Amino acid sequence: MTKRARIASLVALGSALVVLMVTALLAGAVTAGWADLVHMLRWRVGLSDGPALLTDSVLWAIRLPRVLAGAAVGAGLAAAGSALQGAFRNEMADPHLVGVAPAAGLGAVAGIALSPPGIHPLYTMLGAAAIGILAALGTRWISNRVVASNQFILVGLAFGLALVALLGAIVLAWDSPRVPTFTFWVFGGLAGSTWAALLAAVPLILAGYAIITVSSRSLDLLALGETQARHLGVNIERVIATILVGVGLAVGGSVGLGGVIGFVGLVVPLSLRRSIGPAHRWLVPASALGGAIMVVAVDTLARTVAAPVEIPIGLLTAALGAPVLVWFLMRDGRA
Amino acid sequence: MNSSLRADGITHRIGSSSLIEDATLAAGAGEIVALVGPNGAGKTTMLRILAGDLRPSAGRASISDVDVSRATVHQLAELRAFLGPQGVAPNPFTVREVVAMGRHPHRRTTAQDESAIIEMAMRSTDVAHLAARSMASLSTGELQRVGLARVLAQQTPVLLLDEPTSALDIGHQETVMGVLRSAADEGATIVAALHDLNLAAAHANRIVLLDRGRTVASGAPGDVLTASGLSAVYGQPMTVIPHPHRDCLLVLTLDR
Repeated sequence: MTKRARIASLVALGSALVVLMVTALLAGAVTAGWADLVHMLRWRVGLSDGPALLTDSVLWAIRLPRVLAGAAVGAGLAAAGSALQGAFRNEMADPHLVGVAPAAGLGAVAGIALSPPGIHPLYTMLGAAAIGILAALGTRWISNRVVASNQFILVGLAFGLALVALLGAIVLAWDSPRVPTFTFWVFGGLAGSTWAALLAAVPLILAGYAIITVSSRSLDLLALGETQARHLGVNIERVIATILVGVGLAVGGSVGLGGVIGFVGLVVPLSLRRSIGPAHRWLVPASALGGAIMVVAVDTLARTVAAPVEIPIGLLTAALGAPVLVWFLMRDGRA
Repeated sequence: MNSSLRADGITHRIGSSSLIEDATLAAGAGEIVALVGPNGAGKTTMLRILAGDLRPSAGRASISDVDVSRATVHQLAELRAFLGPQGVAPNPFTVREVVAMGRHPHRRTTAQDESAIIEMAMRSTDVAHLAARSMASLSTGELQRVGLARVLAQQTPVLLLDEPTSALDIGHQETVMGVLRSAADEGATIVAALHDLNLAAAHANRIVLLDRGRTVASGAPGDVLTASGLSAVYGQPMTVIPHPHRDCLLVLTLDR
């Protein structure tokens, strides 16, 4: 794929995301059209002096933060997935499977527990990011120094399973209106998205994304293996630690905002690597856009197909992601 | 002699077994030094110590007077390039992208210079026609040549090569040794572990014969490649005769 074709792919993904987000804004029980959207925007900036309509408040206070949260969560998870898959040269490396996302879930719960009454979302997000980073770095340290096999993914998988169980047990046992439900921590959910949560999570996701982007070239060189990358001047331990901090921040913000949603970080970078190529300066932004598209689309389905019942988003990402994954693997097998 | 690569009193032990025992090596600009010896002689261990990958139990290795065990990863990448026996592990990048990765330590040069260096490295190792191919689609020998192209693109004063011809056909073996000779003529210092004694005889300035971690012989090919010495080290009767057409020796095996 030429450079021009890659730029065109990014532009196409970005345009698709914008169209999808507008569509998602207008979909739902309260019908809204373009005119309502324009009215809401005029109302927000104070151009319209009449009283707020129902559509104004539904669009501004419920749907817009939810759609933006979906985009941020998807971008964070998929960018983190592309970085983990690159750093460990394995497409199994997904923030959910290797335990970073469930660890971030535990951190979010801890943040909620420590938060003053009223629950400031900043506590949730910072707790999620801190424990997410700790889990990622800890897994690296243990796989390198304690297990001494450099099997980051297997060690992460073991911890991830234990953390999912621990997280599930804690939220089941701690029956409090302060803590989101069990479903949120196992299958995710964007129903409770607020502007406050969004403003607390997005800077973390952006910081994580920026750190991963800065490491793009090192991620490319890691495709040669750690020894050969080192021979070319890559300081392996420092680069991997940097990438893991970026992953922890992006996943922490995403989990604090949308709960633990699987498959996005796995299937999005895996499929885009096959079209846009393995170079991370293209793959990371493409994954972020692709992840945003996937989560916004799936969340819109989750809240509309069985309305008024809302399907947990993680059920749908798994149901849609698994066939896509198998399809790509079948295509690889035939190539 | 002004040696760009020096190793003094190198010893490396793991537990009670000694992989390298009191080895000394010096190589200067323009030289090809071949490390030869049977399996387990310590050739790879020696190269890894010279590359700074392995810290020896005793002794000191230096490149251009920089102690390799104290140099930073980036300093080392500017001083030496290393080619392992597999060349480059299969990966999703194209051949050209992988050769370009050899330029990583020198990020300050202009894009035009870069592309000239990369093209030159690919042409000399006969992989230019593969430039757009994915690394995942290459044969073992092609991977090894792409590995050498990447090492040449790194443009370091010292090249350390572990079995650079092990997967190559006889024509490409000569191509690669010719490329190494040109690099040496331009001032590079080359240390290569070689299994093929005749490649060493034809192309090396000096040969170091290792056996179970010890340096058995070291010097010009004529001094090291002797029938009695080789037969003893390899446990295989051998004879050494003058090459009928080239100005070098020819090593041949005999019946046991």
